[in-house]
Order: sequence, then C-alpha cells, then structure tokens
Amino acid sequence: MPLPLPFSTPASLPRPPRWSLVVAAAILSTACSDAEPSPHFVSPFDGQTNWPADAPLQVRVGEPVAPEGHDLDPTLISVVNLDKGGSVEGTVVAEKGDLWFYPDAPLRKATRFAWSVAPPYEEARSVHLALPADLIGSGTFHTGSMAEPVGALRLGDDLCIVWSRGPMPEEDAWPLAAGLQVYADGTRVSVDPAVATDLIGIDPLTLGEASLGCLALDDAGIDAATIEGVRIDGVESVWQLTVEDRSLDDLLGERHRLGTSTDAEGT
Amino acid sequence: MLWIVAAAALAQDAPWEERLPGEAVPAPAISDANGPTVVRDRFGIQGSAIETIGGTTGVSAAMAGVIGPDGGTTAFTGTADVVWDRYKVSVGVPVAAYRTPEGARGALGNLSATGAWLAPGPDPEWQVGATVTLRSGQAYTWINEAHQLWPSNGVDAVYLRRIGDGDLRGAVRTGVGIHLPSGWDPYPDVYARLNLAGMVEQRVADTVGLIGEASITWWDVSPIDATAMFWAEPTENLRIRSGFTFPVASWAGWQPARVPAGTRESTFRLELVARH
Repeated sequence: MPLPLPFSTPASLPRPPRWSLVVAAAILSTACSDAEPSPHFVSPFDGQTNWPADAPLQVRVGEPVAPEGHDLDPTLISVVNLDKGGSVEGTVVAEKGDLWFYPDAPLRKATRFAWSVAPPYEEARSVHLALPADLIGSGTFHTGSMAEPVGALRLGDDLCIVWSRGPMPEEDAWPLAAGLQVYADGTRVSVDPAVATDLIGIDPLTLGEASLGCLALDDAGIDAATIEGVRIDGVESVWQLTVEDRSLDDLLGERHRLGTSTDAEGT
Repeated sequence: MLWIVAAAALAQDAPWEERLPGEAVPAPAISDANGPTVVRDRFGIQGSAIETIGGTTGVSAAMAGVIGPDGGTTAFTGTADVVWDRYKVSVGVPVAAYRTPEGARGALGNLSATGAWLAPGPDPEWQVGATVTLRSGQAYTWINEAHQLWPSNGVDAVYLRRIGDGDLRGAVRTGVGIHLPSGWDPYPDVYARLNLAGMVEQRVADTVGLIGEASITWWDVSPIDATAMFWAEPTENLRIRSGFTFPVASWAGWQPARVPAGTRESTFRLELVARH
C-alpha cells in the first residue's frame, strides 16, 4: 500500500509530458556540469627573488594544452639573462595542464632574468595551442637571495611591505640588518620580522615564495591611514612605493598573472 | 553540378550490360548470373574523395602533399584491395610527414578498413559499404580529410554510384559517419561526418583520361574540395594518376580552424594503381 503523500497532483491538472522531464533533466545536467575553470598562473612571479637556479619555470594553464610529447614552439616561453645579456637555452614541455621551461643548464646564480610567455605561434595543420590571454606577458626574477620590496599595502590598521622572497634567513635581524632603511612619508620607521606568505588558490612551484613585513608605525607616532608613499634605501638600490588599498592576494595574483578567464590567445 | 550528376544517375538503367568502347587491354573475365561471360573494368571508376567503384584486386600507393605557405604536410598511403564475387575489402594505412615548431616529423596515420558489397554485374553500377577508421599513430596534422591522419576512431556508411558507361561517365558518393578524434584544438571531441561528392571522368584516349571532382563534407577541416586529375595506363595492369585538390572552402576561410583565409595551399596528388 503506498504511503500517503503530503500533497498530490489534482486530477484536473494536466500532467507534464514525459519528454519535458527529459529535456528539463538534460538542461539541469548541463547547468550543473559547468565546472569552475581552474586557475592559471606563471611561476616565478614578476619580481620574485631567491629563485632556485635549477628549477624549471612553470606556466599553469589548468587544462591540458597539447598531446603528450607534442613538439611545442620553443619560443613560447623564453628567458633572458638581464645582467649578462643573451637568451637562456632551454626546452618547453607540455605536461597535462602545465607548460614548463627547463633550462638546459642551471641558471647562473645571483643573476637577474626576464621571462616571457609569447602568443603561441601556430604551425599550419597542427595542434592549436590555446593559451589564456592574460598569461601572455613578461616579468623578471632573480636567483640571488636578497629580498626586494614588490609593494606596499594598507592592510586594516597596518601598513605592510611585500617582500620578493619567502622565509628570511635570519628573521629577527632582517631586513634592517641587511642595510635597508625604510621611510614612511619621509619618517624613518622600523619593520617587523617578515612572515612568509603564500597565495591562496594556486599551487606554486616554491612554497612561501613571498613575505609580508609590516611597518612598526607606532614607534614613529604616525598613522597608517595617512601614509601615501614608502621609500626604502638599500645598499645598491632605492625603491619608492605607492601605498595601495588592496589585498595581498590581489597583488601577488597580479604578479603571478593569476586568472581564470578562458579567453584564448592565438595567431 | 552534383544535382545534375545525381539526376543522371537515377536515369541510368542496367549499365553493366554495356562495355567501355575502345578498351585497349583485356580485363579479367567473370561469369555473371544475369548474363553471358563478360569482362570487368579492372580499374573501375575512382575519384579522389570517391573510392573505386568496382575494379579488381590490386594494390596502390598514393602520395598527397600540401604545397604553399600553409603546406608542409605529405601523406603516403598504401592500400590493398581484394575483390571476390560481389564483395570487396580495402585496407589502407597512411604515413604522414609534417612540420612542427621543432622541425619535420613523421608519424603513422589512421588505419582505414572498408568492406563493400557490389551490385550485380561485371562493372557494378553501385556499391554500398562501411569504412572503419582506427587510430594507429600520432600524426597531429591533416591533408584534406579530417579523419585520415589526425588520431581518431570512427565509422562511416558509404554509398557509391556510377553514372554512365561510355567515354564520359561519372560517379557520386554519399556518406554518413561518426568520428571520435583526439580532441585537441581545432578538432572537437566527437563529430558527425556527412559527405556528398560527385565526379566526371572523360577518357580522352585509350589509355588516358581526365577527372573532375567536387565534394562537400561537414564536419571537416576542408569542407569543400575541388579536384582535377589525369590518369594514364603505361601497361595493362598499371595506372598512374596525378593532379591537384583545391580546398575551396579553406581558401575562403570557411573551415573550422583558425587559419588565415586566401589561396595559401593546394594538394598535389600522385598515385600508382596496380590491378590484377
């Protein structure tokens, strides 16, 4: 005997045709199958330092871009030695959802390089590589261990500097011991020990690739809300940073060329 | 043109009872249940997109090379045909040489196996069959037909019909199939393949003929093709065919691949056909 239902279809109402249920199910299944596109990014991020000399460069596309073993345009990812000049010889390889640039030899240590992801050149009558358009571009990285500021952020009541490398070798003494002097709107301030940070949402090649060090503004008697610029004097360089009202994820995501758009770049 | 050819096909009656006038060489004799012993046209009628209708057992070697700025792909195909009674089996495997960003590369194309049933008569007026495409290699390229080289599996049902039986004759082909290619851009993961092709063959001498063919296919990397070829028979068992296929739709940019439009490519064909 069937269980009584709390409601029933009145006999006077026409039942929907069976095919309409099939169509509705198909539409629902299509809607539910729209998976969130996986993020894409480039590692190292623009301005990163302390990059391992023997590590390959990674371009995460998210979706497989070419058949395993398929010959890719060798100029798709290029690396240039900015200190000595000249291109770095290497091989571009597609592995599932990643493109890798493997240098033929370990990168020169303590050297600044530029990487570039070029629009894919498509050989006629061949696999077309569909790279997200926002991956196309260039940036710099350094194989030296020094830390460089890549941005100044107003995070709540704090004013923080984003450093270009992960965990500092001597956190207690760094970065003032490294010869850096930090000025907020012309007033010298100290910097709290930097804390390594990762970017949420991506699986970077190297963990803890950036650090966040907040300025000890209380000591100087100034308010983070009034600071518009930060000046950092290093041993060999001076950085003038504009304080930005955005999140750390936003800053690092931009430098990683992090995105989820599916707009492809081709010839 | 195809409609004219198709209309002529419907008007044709009992063409197998006729002989090609002026045939220069003897051909294998067969007994047909419907009439006296007659001889068979060993080469049948064959286009580029249109497979051989009738014919006898034999082998062939074909080269198709894309020339022009967007060229660089060449396919070499060996095919064996076995014909007995009203049945025919053909098996072919192409090998492709093509360009990649790192230089030239060679790879096996897809194995193609066809089983066909021939209509009664020494030179069947029509035949029907199925072609199975089996992924055999890693040739990520194409000539004029999507399923020949690019790794894929598929099956097509094919109907071929000859029209006329004199020095001037023709043929039509219709095909429908389903293919599952390796779905890298610009190929989809799966596509249906509908094909309609027509050809005209004019024998200009005992051992020389000309062929004109047009085909429309969707889905295909080259949806509309026009082919012009000639054939010559240096010996009674050997035929040489050569000519060009022009990818008309590709020239106009009507193809599902992101390539520049314009007359940037043509396909040169050279074939050697040996028949028993």
